[in-house]
Amino acid sequence: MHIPDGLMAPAVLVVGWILAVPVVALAVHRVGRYVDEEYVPVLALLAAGIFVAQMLNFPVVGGTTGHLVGAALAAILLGTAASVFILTVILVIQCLVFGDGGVLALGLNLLNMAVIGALAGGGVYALLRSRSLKLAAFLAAFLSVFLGALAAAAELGTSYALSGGAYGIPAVLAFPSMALYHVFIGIGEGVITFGVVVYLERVAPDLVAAKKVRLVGAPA
Amino acid sequence: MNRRYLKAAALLVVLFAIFIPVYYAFSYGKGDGLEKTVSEGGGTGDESAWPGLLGYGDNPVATFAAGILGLGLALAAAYGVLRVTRAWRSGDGRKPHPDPPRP
Repeated sequence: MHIPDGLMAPAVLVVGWILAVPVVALAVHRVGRYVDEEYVPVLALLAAGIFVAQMLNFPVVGGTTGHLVGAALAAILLGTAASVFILTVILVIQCLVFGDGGVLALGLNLLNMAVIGALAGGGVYALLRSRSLKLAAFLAAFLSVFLGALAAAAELGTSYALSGGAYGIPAVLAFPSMALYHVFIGIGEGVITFGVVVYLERVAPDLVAAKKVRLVGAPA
Repeated sequence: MNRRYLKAAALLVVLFAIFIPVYYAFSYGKGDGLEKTVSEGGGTGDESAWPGLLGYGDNPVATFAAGILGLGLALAAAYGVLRVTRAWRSGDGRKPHPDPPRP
């Protein structure tokens, strides 16, 4: 779901940067202030692990592939601010070093995967974890991908409307197609996240119970 | 980094090596959800303003090397930014928030 350059209208690219940068700055500030010293290596290792996991696509319907985004997993383990921080590091490296996602579109990629992914994943998990940690992990991961995909569909449709068809694609095509593919990719994300959380609960319960650094309020 | 983290990093590398053949067998070269949506909708979008220093490679060995490089870069960048941020806060007289007592 990495948006390349040349796909979105310039005005949409600008809005992406305007929305993403303040949240990323807040996340870096919050993580620097609140993350426990003992979890600094864990956070770095999680960034490395999610980077590697994002390289391995899995097949879904219609010859399409998807990959783990990891925003929900990071939010579940270390909190929403930590998730935004981790995904930002990954997306910047993917863009600048590996050419994955456009440099002008980096603001939109940060918005869709780091910001929306972390907020959706962290929010759903916080709401549901008291009922069932495993169900919360699955739904948080699913919605983090699905809502990010719907945001990308909205960006495609808006670009098309603003540019008179020079950029993007019509919203009537973008929404159903993105929703269809990302239902399956979201299920894949949910299954992987569920599996990792269940595994970590058994072998490293302290990590699942680690203090969560959120974007607002005291760490929980 | 203590032994626990080194073991976790080694496990990541092993898992990556194991899953590369699966990736190449079933997913390599196929577009993701966004790429399929854009191609079906008649959109375009490959005018890279910055092509990147490297690629992910087009064979398992090159992809493995790119993955190890990316793993190291992500690890170093996340760790480095955190260290700089925390050092800056300390130098500014604003200590990182004290760790609360563990239950």
